[in-house]
Amino acid sequence: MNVLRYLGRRLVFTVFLLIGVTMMVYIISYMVPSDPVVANLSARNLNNEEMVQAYREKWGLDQPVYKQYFTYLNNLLHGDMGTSLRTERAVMEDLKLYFPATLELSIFGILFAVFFGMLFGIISAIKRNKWVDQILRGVSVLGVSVPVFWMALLLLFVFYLKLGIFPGPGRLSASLTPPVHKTGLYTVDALLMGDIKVFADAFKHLCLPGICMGLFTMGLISRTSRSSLLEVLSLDYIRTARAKGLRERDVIIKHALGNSLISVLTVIGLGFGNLLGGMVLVESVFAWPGIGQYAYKAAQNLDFPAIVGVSLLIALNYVVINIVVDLLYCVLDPRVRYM
Amino acid sequence: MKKNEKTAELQETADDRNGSLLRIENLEVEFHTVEGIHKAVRKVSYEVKMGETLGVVGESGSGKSVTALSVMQLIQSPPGKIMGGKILFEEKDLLSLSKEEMNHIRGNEIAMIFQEPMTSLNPIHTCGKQIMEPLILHKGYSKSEAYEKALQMMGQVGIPIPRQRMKEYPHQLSGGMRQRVMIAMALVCKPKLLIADEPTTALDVTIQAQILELMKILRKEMNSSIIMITHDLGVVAEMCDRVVVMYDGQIVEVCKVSDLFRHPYHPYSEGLICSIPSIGGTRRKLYAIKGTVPSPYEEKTGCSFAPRCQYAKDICRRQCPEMTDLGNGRLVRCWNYRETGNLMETAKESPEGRGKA
Repeated sequence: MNVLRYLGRRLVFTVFLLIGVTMMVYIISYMVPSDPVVANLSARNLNNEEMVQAYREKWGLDQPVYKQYFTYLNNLLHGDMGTSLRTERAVMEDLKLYFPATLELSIFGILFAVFFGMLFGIISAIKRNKWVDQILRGVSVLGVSVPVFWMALLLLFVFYLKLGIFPGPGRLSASLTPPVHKTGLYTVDALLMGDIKVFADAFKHLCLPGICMGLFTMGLISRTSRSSLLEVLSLDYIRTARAKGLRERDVIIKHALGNSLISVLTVIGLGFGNLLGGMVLVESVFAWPGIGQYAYKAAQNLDFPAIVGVSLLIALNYVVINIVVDLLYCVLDPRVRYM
Repeated sequence: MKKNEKTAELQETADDRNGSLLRIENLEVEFHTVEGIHKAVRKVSYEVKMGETLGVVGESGSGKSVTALSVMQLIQSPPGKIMGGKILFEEKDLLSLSKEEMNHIRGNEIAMIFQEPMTSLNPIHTCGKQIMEPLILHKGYSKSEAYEKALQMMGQVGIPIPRQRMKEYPHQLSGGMRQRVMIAMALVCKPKLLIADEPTTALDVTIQAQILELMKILRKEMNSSIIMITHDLGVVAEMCDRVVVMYDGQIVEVCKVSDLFRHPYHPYSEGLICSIPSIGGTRRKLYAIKGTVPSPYEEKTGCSFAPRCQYAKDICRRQCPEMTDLGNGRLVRCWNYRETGNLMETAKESPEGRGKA
C-alpha cells in the first residue's frame, strides 16, 4: 500500500522532471552561439538562400523557439521524439538501436564494479591497515584516477594485441552474424536463439570495454563499502553480536554487511546511471555503437531532436534507478519500510 | 517485610554459595592511542562467587566497563590491549583460550547486557531473530525450537504480546522494551554469569525500577551470578551482595554492600556515599567530590585520588598504597583508612537548610 503510493508520487514527479529536462535542453541549445543549418548543410548549399530557407522550413527552424518547443512537447506526448537531423531517422528508432548496446555494456560494467568493489571493500575493512588493505586501496584509487581512454588502450594492447586472450573492438567477431534483434542485447538475444557460440563471442567482446567502464565505479564502491563497513563494525549492535559468541565471519556477514550496504547502494545506483549515459571515450576506443557515441555526434551536428532525446533517456535512467534504489532501501532497512 | 526478605537472601548468599565462578587476577589493560598510552585497568583483581551479584561502582573512565569487556574479550584491538593478568572462569583462564573456545563461552556461559538499548540491537533484524540467534548457535536448536524458546523468554522478561513482538524490529519498540529484549537475548542460553553494563542508565526512572525488578526475579529463577556495573549507588543498594569500588583504573575498596553504606573506608567511597541525595531526614548541602578525574595519560606517582582527597598526606602523593585486607572480605587501598569517616560524621551532625546553601 505504502509502496504503491510512493511509486505513484514518484511517477508524477517524473513527468515534471522530464518536462523540466526538455525545457533546459531547449534553452541551452537556443543559447549556443551556433546554427544547426551551418552544422548540417554543406558550404555550397549554405550559399544558396533557397536551400537554407527550405532546410529551415523542413525542420521547423524558422519558427520562434518557444513554438518549436511546444511543437516538440506535443509530439512527445504522442510518442514522437522527432527526427534526427543527422541520421534522418526517428530519434526513437535511433535510441532503440544504440541504447541496448550501452545497456549491455553498462550491466556488465556495473556487475563487475559491484562484485569486485564490494569484495575489495570488505577485505580492506576486515584487514584494515594491513598490507592487503593498502594494496586494494591502491587499486581502488587507481581505478578512480586513471584516465579511461588510456586504460582502454592499455587493456586492448595487453589483452588483445599481446596476449590475445580477448577479442578486439566491436560487439561481435566479423565472422559471426548478429542475433535477431529482440532485446538488442547480443548476449541475451543469442541465448534466446540458443546460439551458444554467438553468446560466447558477444560475452568475450563485452569483457574489456565492460571492465574499462566499470573500473571507476569499482573504485568508488570499494572505497565506500570499506568505510561504511568499518563504521558499522564500530557500532554497539556489532559488539552485541560479538557478545553472543558469533564467529567474526558471521558477525560480518549476518550483522554488519546488510547495514553497511545501505550507503553503498546509493553509490551503486549513481554509478550505474553514469554508465548508462554512455562513455564516449570507451565506446570510441572499442568501436562500440552505444548511446555515448550517438550523443557525441548529435552534439557535434547540433542535432536538437537527438540531443533532447538522449537527455530525456539519461534523465529517465536516473529516475528509474533511483526508484529501484529506494525500493531496495526498503528491502534492506526496515526503518525506511515503516516510515 | 521486603527488607527482611533481602536480609534473608543475603544470608543465604553468604552461607551457601561460596564457590568462585569468576576470578580476575592482576588484570592490566592499556589503550595505545595517538595521545599516548592510557592505562585503563591497573592490576585489578576481584572475584564473583556462584549466585552472587557483585556491584562494580565508579565514575566514567574508572575502568569498570573495560574490565568487564576484557572478561568477554570484547576490547577493540587496536587500540585496546590486555597487557597481563588472568581471568579465571570456572578455573579456566579465558585469556589463554582459542577464539573458537572463547566464542563458545560468550553468549552461552557468560552473557552481557549493554548500556544503550537504543543502539545495541541490530536495526535490520527482527527482535525474535536476535533472541533466537544464541540458541541456534550454542544450543543447536532448530529454528522452530528456538522460536518457541525465544517466545517463552520474551514472556518471561515481561514483554506483552510476545508473538507480535517477535516479528517487530527494534525501532518499533520503546527503550524499556528494547532493554527487555536485550535481557531476553542475554539470558536465553541460561548463562552462569551475566555482566550488566549500566543496564538502566539510559532509561527513564520508572522503567529503571521495572528493569531492576525484572533482573532480580530472573536472577532467582536462573540462579546466575551477576556483575552489575553502575555509577548509581541506588542500583547497588537495590541489587548487589558485594561491591567493588573503582577509581582511575584501580580497585580502591571491596566490601559487602551493607558495609559500604554503613562505613566506607576509602575516602572516594565515602565521597560517593555522601553525594547521594536523601529524601526525608535532615536537609543538608549535597556533597560533591572536589576536582576531576586525573588525565589518563599522566604518569602517576602516589595515590591517584590524593589530589582530590581531604585526608591526603605526604605519603599519599609519594607512594601508591597497596590493598589492605581488613578481614571479613573487606579490602581497601588507602594509607588513611583508619581516619576516614569525617565526611559521614559532618553530614550527620551539621544539617544545612536549603536556604542557607
